[in-house]
Amino acid sequence: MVPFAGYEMPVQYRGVLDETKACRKSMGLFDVSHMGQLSLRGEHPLRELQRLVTNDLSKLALHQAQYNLLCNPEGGVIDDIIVYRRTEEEVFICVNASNRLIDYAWMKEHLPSSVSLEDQSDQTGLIAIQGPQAEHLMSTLISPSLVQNLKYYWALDTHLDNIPVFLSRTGYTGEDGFELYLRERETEKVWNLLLEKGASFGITPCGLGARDTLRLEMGYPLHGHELSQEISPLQAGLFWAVKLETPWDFVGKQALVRQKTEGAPTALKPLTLLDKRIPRQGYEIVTTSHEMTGSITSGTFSPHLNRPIALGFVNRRHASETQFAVKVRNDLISAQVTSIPFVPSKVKKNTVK
Amino acid sequence: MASVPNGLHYTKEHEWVLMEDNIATIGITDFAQESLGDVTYIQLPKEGENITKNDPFGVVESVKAVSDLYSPVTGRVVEVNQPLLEAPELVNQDPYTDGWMVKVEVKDISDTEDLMEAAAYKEYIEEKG
Repeated sequence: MVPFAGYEMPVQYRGVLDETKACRKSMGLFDVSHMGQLSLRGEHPLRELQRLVTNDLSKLALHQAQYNLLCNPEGGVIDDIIVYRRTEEEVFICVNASNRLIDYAWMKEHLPSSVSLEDQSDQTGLIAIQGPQAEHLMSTLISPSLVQNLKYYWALDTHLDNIPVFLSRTGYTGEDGFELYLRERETEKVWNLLLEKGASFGITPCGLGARDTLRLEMGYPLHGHELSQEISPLQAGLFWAVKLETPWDFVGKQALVRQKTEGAPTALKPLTLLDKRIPRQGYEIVTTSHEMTGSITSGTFSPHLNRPIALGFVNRRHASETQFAVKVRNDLISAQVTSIPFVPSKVKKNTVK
Repeated sequence: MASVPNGLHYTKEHEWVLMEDNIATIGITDFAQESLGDVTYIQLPKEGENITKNDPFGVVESVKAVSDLYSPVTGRVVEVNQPLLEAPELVNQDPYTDGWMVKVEVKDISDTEDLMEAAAYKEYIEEKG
């Protein structure tokens, strides 16, 4: 167990590589209760929130979810979040554990008094069920038609074994799957129930290590690594979640428009390495002519490619190059620019971006 | 519970040494491989190189972390476990047998005198939890 944002979290149960493979082959079970949850209610909560986020909330139908970015005026990312239009009256927001207090304070400061923001993180648990067997398992516990008709990035309130849950078809693994928001005090019971009912489907508890490897195989950014208050979503390649052609203003929009015109100073590159050594956060990236150009933000060993993969920023001058090298201790290891996802995504794509 | 075979000497950095005459076989312990998790890469000296007691002589890298290997003895490397370099996961599977790392011709066989025996090492790792 390791301390993480005030929670004791398992890095691994059985082994990072085993858990990663099990999730892609059958199903992984993740306790991600450390994640934060905010609830926004009042008059036109979506419209008010729109002034703080980069994506287009007007496209969000009732029960739909959307990936979004909360930016500072310089266009840096305060947090990446998921916004749910949970009911007509309530917008539910899932935020990163380590940013939860910052997000809450920022939103509180910038939202008008006609809406009220509540931090529900301490009362809310979150369990993720991810993998090709996830739909089968959930269909045995919740109405099969409800489960099967729930599309990617849609969510609704229902019950599991008489326990109220907010069921969301989302995840951080690139597999089809679900995230279950529920009351903190019922999390353990539901976890054990999922383990028991999932046994015949090959369910495997997965720790933070597997979660990181799975998200990195998809090229998903992680705040604190690929995103930060100093890094814009454009640098991180999240163009699809930044809507600059919209008629309204949002915090950071001007800076992002300028950056789009002038070009970002650095660009995020997915890299695969032709070696077994793992590039880790902070390792230098150099060009083929040995010029230092940036550094690694995340790296791991992909069991599906059987080689190390990484994300890192390079200087814009080298953004079109396809070969780099990563300095691993005293050696330069060849790194090939790759397209993401590193491993094909299996999510049921019919989301509204 | 991590296995700690009798008859080996152990370091505080979790290497084990098997002494046979003046040849020391060196590896890392079961406790070490468990703490590291899946090992993906191992770097070892070449045959003929000299290594020095308490100095790093190699690197073991897992998905979670990179760790230096510290030599428990001073001497010349006479054999390197080549199959291990090809299949580093052998360290996770069999740290005391197939997962051995190097054999060293030891200059001074009293090098192992300050190392721990099995019982003491067991106590040491229990304290570490």
